[in-house]
Amino acid sequence: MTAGRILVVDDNAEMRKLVRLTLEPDGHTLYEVETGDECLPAVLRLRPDLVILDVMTPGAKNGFEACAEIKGGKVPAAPLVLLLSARGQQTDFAMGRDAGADAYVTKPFSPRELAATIRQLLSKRQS
Amino acid sequence: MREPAIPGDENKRLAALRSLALLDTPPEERFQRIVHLAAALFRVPIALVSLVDAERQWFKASCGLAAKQTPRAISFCAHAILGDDPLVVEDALLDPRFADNPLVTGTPHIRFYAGQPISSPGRHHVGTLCIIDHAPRTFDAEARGHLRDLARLVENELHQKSLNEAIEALRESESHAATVLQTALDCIISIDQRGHVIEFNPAAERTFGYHRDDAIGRELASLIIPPALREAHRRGMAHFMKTGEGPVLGKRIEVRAIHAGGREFPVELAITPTYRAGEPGFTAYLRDITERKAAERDLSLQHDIATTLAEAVEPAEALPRILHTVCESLDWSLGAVWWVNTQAQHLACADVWHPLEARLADFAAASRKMRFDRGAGILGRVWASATPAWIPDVCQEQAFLRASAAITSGLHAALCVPIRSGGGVIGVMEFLSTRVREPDAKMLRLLEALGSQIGQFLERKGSEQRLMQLTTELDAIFNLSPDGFLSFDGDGRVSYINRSLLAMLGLERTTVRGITEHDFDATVAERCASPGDYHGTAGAPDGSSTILSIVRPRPATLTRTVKTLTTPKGEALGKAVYFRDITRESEVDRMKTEFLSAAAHELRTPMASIHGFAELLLNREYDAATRRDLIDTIFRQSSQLVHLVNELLDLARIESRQGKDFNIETTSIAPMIREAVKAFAPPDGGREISVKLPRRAVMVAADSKKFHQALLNVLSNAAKYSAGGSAIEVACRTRCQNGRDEAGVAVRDHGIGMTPDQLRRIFERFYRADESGSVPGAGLGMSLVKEIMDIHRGEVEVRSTPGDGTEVTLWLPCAEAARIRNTEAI
Repeated sequence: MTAGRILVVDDNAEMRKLVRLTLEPDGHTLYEVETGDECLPAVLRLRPDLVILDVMTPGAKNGFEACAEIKGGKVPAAPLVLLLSARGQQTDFAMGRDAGADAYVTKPFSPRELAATIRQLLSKRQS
Repeated sequence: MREPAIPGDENKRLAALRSLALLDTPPEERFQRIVHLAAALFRVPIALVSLVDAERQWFKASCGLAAKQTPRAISFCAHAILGDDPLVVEDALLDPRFADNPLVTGTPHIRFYAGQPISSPGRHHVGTLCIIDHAPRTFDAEARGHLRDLARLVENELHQKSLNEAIEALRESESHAATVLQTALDCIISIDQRGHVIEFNPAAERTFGYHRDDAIGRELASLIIPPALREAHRRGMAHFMKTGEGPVLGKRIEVRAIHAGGREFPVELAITPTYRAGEPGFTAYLRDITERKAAERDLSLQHDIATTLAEAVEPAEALPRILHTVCESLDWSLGAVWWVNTQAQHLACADVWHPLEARLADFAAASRKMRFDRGAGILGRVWASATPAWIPDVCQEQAFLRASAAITSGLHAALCVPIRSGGGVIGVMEFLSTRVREPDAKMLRLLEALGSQIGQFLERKGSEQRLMQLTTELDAIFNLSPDGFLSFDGDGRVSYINRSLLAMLGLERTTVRGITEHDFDATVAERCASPGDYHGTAGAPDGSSTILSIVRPRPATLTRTVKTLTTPKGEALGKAVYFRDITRESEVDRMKTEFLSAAAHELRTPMASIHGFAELLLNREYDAATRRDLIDTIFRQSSQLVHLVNELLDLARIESRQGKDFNIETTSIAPMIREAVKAFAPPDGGREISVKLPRRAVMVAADSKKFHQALLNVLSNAAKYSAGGSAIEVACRTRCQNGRDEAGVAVRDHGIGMTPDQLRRIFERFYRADESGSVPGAGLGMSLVKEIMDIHRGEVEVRSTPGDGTEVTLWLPCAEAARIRNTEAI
């Protein structure tokens, strides 16, 4: 079991609570911010292993843009990014891939599956 | 020896000599007789009739001399002709002029010479009668007299000959004149000083219809001059006789003449004064120029009509003028044009021309009322047969249906020609005369040709008009079209651009017309968001479409389609370019995409909570407090979902039913306001809501349930977007908008307010002024309000200042029965 440092970026408090309740039992350390704009500073400060990023975040930057920022070279040893989105069109997946995301999960999602995906991502990262 | 001198009249003398035509002719008895008589009378060996030519003397008659001629230089006679009296040389050897003359020293050994000059009829000395002897002699006056008499006899013979010839010549001349007279194509008429005919040649007989014998002795004026001109002719004759002057003498003039049968015709006339037996008279040369005049007239008529047609803009203006021209030129009294009415299948009179004459006006009026079926009457027959008709006298013609009107109007001859167009008869031209007129094949042909000419003109005008109409229609269509149209001509220059395209691209017609395709492309490129990426119409494949994003004159998205224009044979004519402003469509597309994405977000987010928490509760053990919290969350999120689904369904229903389930009635506005305020339970409770209602009843047309829902949404927003302690004011207002009375409910808050950008998007689905998520709601409320108010034919008026708050007024149309009922308690 690989525990990691995870940053959750979502404007919806219920969502953040759901993610926390889902992932804390696996031993991960969770951090939370509400907007895409806060994402990069938080990443630089907290150096998380993984960022769970809601695509439709309020503020100047949406999730795709925040992801591209993190993955665009500004951050040394960039964290893994899992995009969480209510949008599930092919174009959305493509946009996520283009932004450099490592995984794309659509809402609603199964907490068990989310936890499994994150475990998988973190173990791959460590190996 | 002295050579003879040349006489002063030498040239005339020689001419006179030659005109005698005696030189080198055989001897003649009449002259021989005289020389023999002279030789015998004077007892000399030699006697001669010598003619002195330019270089010689030649003997017309000789006695005792073999020579026919001798040189003039040694001639005695050449000396003799210098005087009038006889030249007498009694002894040549003693005369210094002749002593060494070869004729003296040698053969014929002349010693004596006497020569009497002989004169031509013109009194020139052409030669001599001379006698010669070999011995000297004396020659007394008596002898000289005899010689002179004999010379006279020779002269008589010369004159005799000339007279005969003159008589012969005269005879010939007269016969020649007679031949000329007989065979001349021109009429030759001679008159004496009384004006009576003394010569009338066969051409005159043919032209004027009189026999020569009948014409001779008659007064010319009454014979060939039309009655109206006779007096003038007689005055002219009298004037000439008196003064010898006449204005027409020696000139060629055109006058009218009259035939024995009464027909008048034009002649060309030349008159010369002549004298016959000392009496003055005239000879007139006349030529019938009817044909020439007719040809001139026809040519002039054709020219006039061609000019009229060429200058006419409308057929309607050309036809009365053509009728007028034909009538005047071809001497018809009335002209009319009849058109085939293809629907009614009859001929109707469209235009009539006639001089201002009441009886003709009557006939014209009668004609205008008439209609002819195909084949009916003369006109109907001309229509059906497409061949012209000439009726010498319509009064005698049963088929002429207006015969009685024609009789009343004094009309007789009629000529009808078809107006042909495109192989069919489209009308008939009709001409009538107050005279009886026999068919004239030439005129018939001329007018038939005219009918075709008019037909072609109308056909051409028709196509021109159709083309112009089509062009106007297309122009109107293209100008009405919101889409842009442009065409390039064969040379690749802008030949047409419609109004919409000018507006779309912010261009002036004058600056675009005629510019090249390349320049046009540059102009469009300038307006593009990225000019470098613009692909011009030049080189664009036929039928291809491109999407352009322009920033000037205003941001817009356009599609451009290029189509190559070709003739049916495939020859390039140019290019048509079609522009369509799809800004709105792309905006709608964008909004749809955004709606879908927003709806997905708003639906999936609560669902994610419900689904996720439920799964956690099923799979994990939680303490009672946590469990309760999670179940509470699930309940709240599912409530929100229900609310959202309800709102979406409401919107969809309103949109799809377009107000069919609205029950709009006349109702008082105040109770609706009161109920909404009462039903609105502010989430934080205890919000101060002030309500101002009118003292009198304001009746509006509304579905009270739907309006209640709209007002609740507005109140909810006011509460959601303002701080808990701030007041919400509700007031009823009235206004007159576009001539219509309206009543409104204004809801004013003192909350965060909106920026103009936010305000612009307020009715967008799922748009939320608050993006933080701290204000509950899906962003459908105002959309719903807008839909409800639209169906009421009302209005949602929103005023907002960021930081100061927002006022939303819902305006409803007042019912007609408003303002009747009295005050209503608040």
